[in-house]
Amino acid sequence: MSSSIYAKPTAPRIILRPALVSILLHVLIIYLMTVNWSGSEREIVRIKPAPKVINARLVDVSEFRPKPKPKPKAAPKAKTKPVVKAKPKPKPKPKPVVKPKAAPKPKPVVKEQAKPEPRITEQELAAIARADLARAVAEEEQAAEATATAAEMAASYASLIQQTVINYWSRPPSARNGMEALLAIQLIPTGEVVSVSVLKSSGNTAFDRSAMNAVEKAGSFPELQQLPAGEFEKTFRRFRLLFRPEDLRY
Amino acid sequence: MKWLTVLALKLALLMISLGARAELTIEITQGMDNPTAIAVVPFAWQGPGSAPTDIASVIDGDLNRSGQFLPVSRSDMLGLPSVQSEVYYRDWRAIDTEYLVIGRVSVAGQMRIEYELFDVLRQTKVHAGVVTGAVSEARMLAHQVSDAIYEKLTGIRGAFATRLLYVSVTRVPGGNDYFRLTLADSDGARPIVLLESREPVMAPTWSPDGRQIAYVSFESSRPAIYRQDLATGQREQLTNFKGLNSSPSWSPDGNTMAMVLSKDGSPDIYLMNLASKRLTRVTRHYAIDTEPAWMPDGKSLLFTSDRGGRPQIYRYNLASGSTERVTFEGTYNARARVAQDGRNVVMVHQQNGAFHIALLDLVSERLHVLTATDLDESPSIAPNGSMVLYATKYAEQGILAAVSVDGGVKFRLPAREGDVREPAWSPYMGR
Repeated sequence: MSSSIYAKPTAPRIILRPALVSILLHVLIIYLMTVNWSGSEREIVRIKPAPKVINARLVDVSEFRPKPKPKPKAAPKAKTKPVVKAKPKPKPKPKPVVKPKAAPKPKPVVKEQAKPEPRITEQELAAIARADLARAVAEEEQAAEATATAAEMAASYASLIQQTVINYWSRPPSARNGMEALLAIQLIPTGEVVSVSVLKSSGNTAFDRSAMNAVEKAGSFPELQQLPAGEFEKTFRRFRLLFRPEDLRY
Repeated sequence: MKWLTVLALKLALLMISLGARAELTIEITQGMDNPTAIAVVPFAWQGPGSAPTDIASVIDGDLNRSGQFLPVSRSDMLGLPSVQSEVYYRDWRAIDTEYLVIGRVSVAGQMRIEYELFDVLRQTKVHAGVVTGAVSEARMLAHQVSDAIYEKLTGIRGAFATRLLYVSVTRVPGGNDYFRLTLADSDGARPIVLLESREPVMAPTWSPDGRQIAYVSFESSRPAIYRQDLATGQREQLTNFKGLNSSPSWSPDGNTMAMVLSKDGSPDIYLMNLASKRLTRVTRHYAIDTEPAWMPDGKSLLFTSDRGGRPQIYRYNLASGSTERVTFEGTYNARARVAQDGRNVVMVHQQNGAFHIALLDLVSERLHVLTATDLDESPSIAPNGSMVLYATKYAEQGILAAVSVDGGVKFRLPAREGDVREPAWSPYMGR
């Protein structure tokens, strides 16, 4: 008796199961597809929080491009590499061999040394630069990884600045959540603050002053000395601080 | 797939570079709110003999009591400048001073205080000012300097050049206690006795212009409400009804006084037109309605009532005649006082059997308990809304204490003879 009663409901279940499985499979496939897409999106988004650094990297790429043309005078503009290359011109002897080694910062330089060793003409320089560019593009993937680490690094220095300023920011009692003061900060490579100015006032002078004094009290961010010179120039030579309290009682 | 990712990355980079060619912006959304280090250098005395009052120490004390400033000790000062040309910012920066106050005091009939406020970190002069007044009012002049400095640095008007009323009781064993109604500066200095009585004196309160006071005195053997002019000392008895006459509270326009009378049965709130002395009954309830306090807009009154079984704060709307309950947290909330912003209400709040001072934010409807002592009563809020003065017990003695509205700063006023109770913080004393 009882077995027959229980047997009945199992029959539709057997029919249901494959249907459920197929629905689940579909859902899973759709989910996987969307996840895949959003996953790749997420990667981009994840980098977004540190647009400063990515921004900085892009500038890098654009610097590669114009290089061939302004080469003769480009020396002061770019970083170590152009300087190294510009110098050989007056004395096209073996000197460049020594100098590039002395400045082993940019990876490509080391590789190029094989070529420029014998003699370097302007055309060759241009060619090298072009090859440089080509390699840079070819190595985009590795570069992307490098960017990620540079981004992480810059982001961590940004959060270090943020935390330091937070620790020195003493708000006046007239401060209210949502007030905004935007400051322009200038640093020198030692990490020292050389200039603080208000770009956009909160409308409350006591609040603005408290923000400026937080930066002045912080005084310097010596940890920034560990950044490669280029990163410092691009991201931290000048930056902005937006003071917008969210943790006040009102 | 790889090239796709790379492409996507490149696009993202391009878009970011186009959209955010701007500089890096770091957002600061938190702070530590530590007190600001300020050095008040002894003011130079430009007169014969030695200075009658140490102006700088009065200012120093004011700023210290606000809790928002941490005055630099004189012994730490590397120099004592009194004019700008003597100010060396690096000396002050070396001892982590953020602001510097210097000044000069001279007397030519009247006392004249010149002062300057410098931002040490930015190396600029923030403010310079002069106050003048009678030599006998030197401390009040110093409080005015404190007010100006406080306002410049905090964005909030200072309330140091204000006064306090309080009642002190001297116990006389075996005899009648001795009651004094006292007026003092906001720092408790210069107390003046306005009324001495063998019978209780209670509930002192201020007129909105700070020129008159009102209080309840039992001197005619039963409670009556009086008002008194501070300048002339002239006194007027406003009520002498049978039963309770208590809790006078001036309307913000100064024309009406809310009070509690029990002449018609149980204690209820009444309004008295101070010109015609005509009475209007506000509440009509068999429960006790007491301790009225005006909202700053004068459109409604807060009061304490036990109509719900336990004392709670209610609000009476004068235009509509409707009453709504304001407090819901805890089983005892009484004696509300409203800050000038009309948002913060301070009251006595019972928690775990102890009576604390609590602050209710009428907008967020959040209640913050401000004090941790057990027998706190009679809160009174500073005219700038920054501090709450209240009565409490310390070493078996009634004393006055103050707490900042954020609960962060607490201090006790210097103890006076006898038990001190029922403080009332004055409004701004003109400007």
